[in-house]
Amino acid sequence: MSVRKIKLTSSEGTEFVVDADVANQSVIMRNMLENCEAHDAVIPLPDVTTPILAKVIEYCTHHRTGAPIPTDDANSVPKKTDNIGKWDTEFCQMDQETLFDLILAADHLDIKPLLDLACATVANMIHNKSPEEIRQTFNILNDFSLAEISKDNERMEQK
Amino acid sequence: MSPPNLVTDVLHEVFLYLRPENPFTSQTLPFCLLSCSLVCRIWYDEARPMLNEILDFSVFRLLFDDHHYTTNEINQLAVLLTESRHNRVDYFNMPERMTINVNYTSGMDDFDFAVEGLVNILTLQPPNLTELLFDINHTAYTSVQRVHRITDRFRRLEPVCSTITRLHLLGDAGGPKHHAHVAGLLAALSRHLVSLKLTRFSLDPHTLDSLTRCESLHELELRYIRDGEALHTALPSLTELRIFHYAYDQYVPQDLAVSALARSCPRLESFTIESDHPNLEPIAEFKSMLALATDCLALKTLCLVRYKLADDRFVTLILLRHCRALKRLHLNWCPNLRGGTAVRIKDGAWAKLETLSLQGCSELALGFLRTIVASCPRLQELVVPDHLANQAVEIMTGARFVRQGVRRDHGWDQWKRSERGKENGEEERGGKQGGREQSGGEERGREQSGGEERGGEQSGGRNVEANKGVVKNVEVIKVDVEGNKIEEGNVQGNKVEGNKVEGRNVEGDKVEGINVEGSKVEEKDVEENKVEESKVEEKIVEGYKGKGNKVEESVVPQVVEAAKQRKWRALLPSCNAQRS
Repeated sequence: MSVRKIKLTSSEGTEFVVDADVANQSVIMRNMLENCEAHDAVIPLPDVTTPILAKVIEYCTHHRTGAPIPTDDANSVPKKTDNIGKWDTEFCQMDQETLFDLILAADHLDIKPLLDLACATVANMIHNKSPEEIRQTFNILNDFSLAEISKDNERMEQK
Repeated sequence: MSPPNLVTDVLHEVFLYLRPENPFTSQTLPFCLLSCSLVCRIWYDEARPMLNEILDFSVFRLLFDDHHYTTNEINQLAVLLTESRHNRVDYFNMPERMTINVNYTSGMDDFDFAVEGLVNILTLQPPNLTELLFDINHTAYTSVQRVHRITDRFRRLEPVCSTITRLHLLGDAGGPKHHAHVAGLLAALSRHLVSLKLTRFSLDPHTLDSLTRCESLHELELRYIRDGEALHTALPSLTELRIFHYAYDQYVPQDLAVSALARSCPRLESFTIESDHPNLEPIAEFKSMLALATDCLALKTLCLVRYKLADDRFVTLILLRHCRALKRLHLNWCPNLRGGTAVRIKDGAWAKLETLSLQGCSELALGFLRTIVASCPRLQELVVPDHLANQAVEIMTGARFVRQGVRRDHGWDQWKRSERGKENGEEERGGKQGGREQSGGEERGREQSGGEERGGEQSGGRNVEANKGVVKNVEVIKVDVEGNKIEEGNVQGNKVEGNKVEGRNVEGDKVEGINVEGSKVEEKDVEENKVEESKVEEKIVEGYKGKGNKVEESVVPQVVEAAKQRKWRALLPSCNAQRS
């Protein structure tokens, strides 16, 4: 039996053809394929733009032979940001906007290792920075000045 | 504003990476998460709940308290507080005390940077930061030098000198010859200083001189100080003193000091002498203690621990004859206190006494307990010496006290008066109960559970309804103001209609702690009712257990009047819920 081929289409309609084991790294796509009887399948991805989809496929292709990562309970195990491999580090060299879009895509497609990697990369950009430095890194405006945060004041008083 | 595609889900995922290792210990402050929470409002909304989960905010309340912070951490904290102030985030309001321990860092360069961090924080003037604690419990030369540098730096800080009102010096900074700088800081703070605590400190002349200038001082606590012979020279200028606490492990006579307090501190409310060892001589003799009792008419709290002089004569001639305002009396581990039949509580002595502790008084006679519970109408808490623990049961429960716990190794057996009579007979509950069961005293019912007759906060969740059965046994009078019912009442001649006066604490009406049930009308500040406090003391509602004591008729109708007045009615919803 030949390798299953999957055709993925981006929001702009660009088509990408990948092997099944590449697509299967996305839990969403894996579930779709299991339910699909046809040997070759077409999966439209209207939420993912072409450049992002390309990056996702690049990642999944490189990691196609990797062992599946055991699922942890995301909230209980602290995540490490210091065990990112060389290829992964270079892969993440991209502008911030693309990185954030990649996080969203990995989230939607449920590709946990990619999500972890992208989040860890962002976390590393935040690490050891003061609030002002973080603002400068991400070009964020400080919008506190007008509002007082009183809810937590109350809560703290009760403690 | 955050970049649009850094949505909260994504932020949440990212922040999970910034959480410190589980289990979280205070050794690692989550600086990253804290920084994130101060970036902008969306980041705050996402990060703050995470912080609330993992962080004990006492690290902000008591700055640098629990472990040694590195120079970097000190400065990071200063940055966080600066941002908090600017962004009006509540971290800025949290600091109350800053601990200064000079052993933060290794090299002197780093040290200066650390001091700058501290200075930055103090200059921000967090509104609740009023206390400095100097840990100067070391003698190494570099440490002593560092103390000098810090104190010299601080005393020139105008913000420090006007906002710091509490100072605690823990240790001796290498000895009296090094105290000039610390004394200088004390002098700089002296004008506004309200509380001064010295632990294991030597009272050198410089410090004494600075102490003399602390004319606003309310609280002076001296623990294991050295060279304290000249203490009395500083006390006369401390005319605002309210609290005096002296703990010692070496004998130094302090009669002059106690006499000075008697002469100069008319507002003194609390006086404590704690000897560390049973064989130590008392630092204040009969005469100076008598002067204190005679002249300090506002004295509410008196604690004498391991005080050999506290014998029956002392109690009779000093504590009973004077000390009219006394609310809390601790005579712990006083070996000569017997409480024989000659010690009589009469003429209104100890009329306001609410707490009495006789912990560890191993010679105390059982009869004294009987005298106390019979003669102290407002007594709410009594700690019995453990050698009487078994025999005390009958006396205590007969007077409606409930045992809280017994610790024989600590010499105590604690009882609290219950306003509802016995619960399930006496139980020996381990440890102290958190529940507030008594009326009057300093425990005001704060619970407001809308209309219910239940104290929400009581441990044991005492339900008045459930007590009805018990109530019958002791003929407790329960009256419901709103419904104007008299339940299980036996209130002949009292005209206590429509009064819910059970465990009542109607602060708003200044009718505090009326306890008609069972009942002694206690501690009423009834200006509105025009009842003199003295009239209602030790009055017992007629019919209670047939003892035949009566409430003065003048009293009760006025209580009724107050209830009928609109003002009291307005308080009724909270009345019903309050238990004092």
